[in-house]
Amino acid sequence: MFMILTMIVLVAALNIISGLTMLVKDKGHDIAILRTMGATRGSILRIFLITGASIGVVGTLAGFLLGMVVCLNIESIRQFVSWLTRTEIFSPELYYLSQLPAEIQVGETVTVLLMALGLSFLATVYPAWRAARLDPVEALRYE
Amino acid sequence: MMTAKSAQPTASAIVEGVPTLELVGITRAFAEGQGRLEILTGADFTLHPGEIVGLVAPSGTGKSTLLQIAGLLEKPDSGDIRVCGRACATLDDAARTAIRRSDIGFVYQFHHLLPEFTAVENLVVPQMIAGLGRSDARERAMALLAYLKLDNRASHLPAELSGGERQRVAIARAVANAPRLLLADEPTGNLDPKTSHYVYDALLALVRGTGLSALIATHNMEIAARMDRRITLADGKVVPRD
Repeated sequence: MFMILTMIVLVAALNIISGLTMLVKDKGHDIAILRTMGATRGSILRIFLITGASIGVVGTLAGFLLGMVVCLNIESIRQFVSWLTRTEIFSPELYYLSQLPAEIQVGETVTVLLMALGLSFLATVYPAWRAARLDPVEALRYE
Repeated sequence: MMTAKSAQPTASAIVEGVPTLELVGITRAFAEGQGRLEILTGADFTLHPGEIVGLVAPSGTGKSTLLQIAGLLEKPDSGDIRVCGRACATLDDAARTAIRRSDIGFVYQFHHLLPEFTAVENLVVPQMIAGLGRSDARERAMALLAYLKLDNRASHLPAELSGGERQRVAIARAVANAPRLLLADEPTGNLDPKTSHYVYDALLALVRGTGLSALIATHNMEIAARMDRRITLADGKVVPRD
C-alpha cells in the first residue's frame, strides 16, 4: 500500500515540478528585476522553495483531511452511493461484509504524510535552483 | 526631500572627490557564429558625484552593454570598474549584488514593475530587500510618490496606470534605496514625445534633488542637451559628444 501511494504522490510531485518550472519561466522578468534591485540568488531560491513547499503542504493536508473523512464515514458513503445509483455497492451476500471496513493505521498514515511532504519538498528544488541561476541580463534582453 | 547617502540635495553641482563610477579599459565581446563581435574595445568613462551624463548613441553600438557592465549585471572581458571607489570587476556575485542593492538604481525602457503589486508596493519591495522594515519602507515610498505627484495612484496596480505613470513609478523605485548611481537605459523609449518630456522632467528633478549621479542613455537630443555633458560610443570606446 505504501508503495502504491508513493507512486501516486510521485506523479503529483512531478506536477509540482512542471508547474513551478512554468512559473519560473513566466516570472523570468520579475526575477531579473528583483536581482537588479539587489535580491540575492539565495532569496530567489527561498521564494520558489517556499512556493513549492506551500503547494506540497496544502496538498498533503487536504489529502490527509479528505482521506480521514472518507475513512471515518466509508459506510455512510457506501450507502449514499448505493442510494444514488440505485444499486447495491459491495453487496453483503456477495462480499460477506456487514459494512465496508476501513482501518486507520497511525504508523502508515504518518509515513505516507512524511513521504508526501518530502517528495513535494524535493520537487521544488530543481525549479527553485533554475530560478536562482537565472541571468537577469538575458531575461531582460528581449523586452 | 530625499537625501542621498553621501550628499545633501544639490542642484546640478558636480562634487569633487571620489568618482561615483569609473570604467577603465572595459572590453566586451560576444560570440557570433565562428567569430566574435566586439562591442566594447577599451571603454573609459568617469562619472563624478552629482553629475548627469547623457549617453547618446545609435542602437547596436553597446549602450545597454555599457550600462549593464556599469551596473554590475554583466562582467567585462577585461578592464576595471569602480563604484564609489570600490573595485568591482572581479567581485563575486554576492558582493556585486550587495553593491547593486545599496548603491545602484536602474531604470529600463520598459517599466518592469511587478504586475501583482501596487505602485507603493513596488517601491516597498526594493527597500525590504535592502533590509528596511515594512512600515518605514512604506512611509518612504509614499513620500517618493508624493514628490512625483503620484501619491493618489499609490494603491493602483501597474495595469491601471498610464505609460508615463508606470515609468515614473519605475524611476521612484530605482531611487527608493537612495543609491549613489542611477543608470537609465532609454527610460522614455516607449513613450510619446509629450509624456517623454514629462517623465524626463520628473527624472531630472529627482536626480538633482537627491544629488545622485546618473548615466542616462537616450536618443532624444533635446533631452540630452539638458544634462551636464554628453558622451557617445564610437568603435567600442566612449568619446565626448557635443
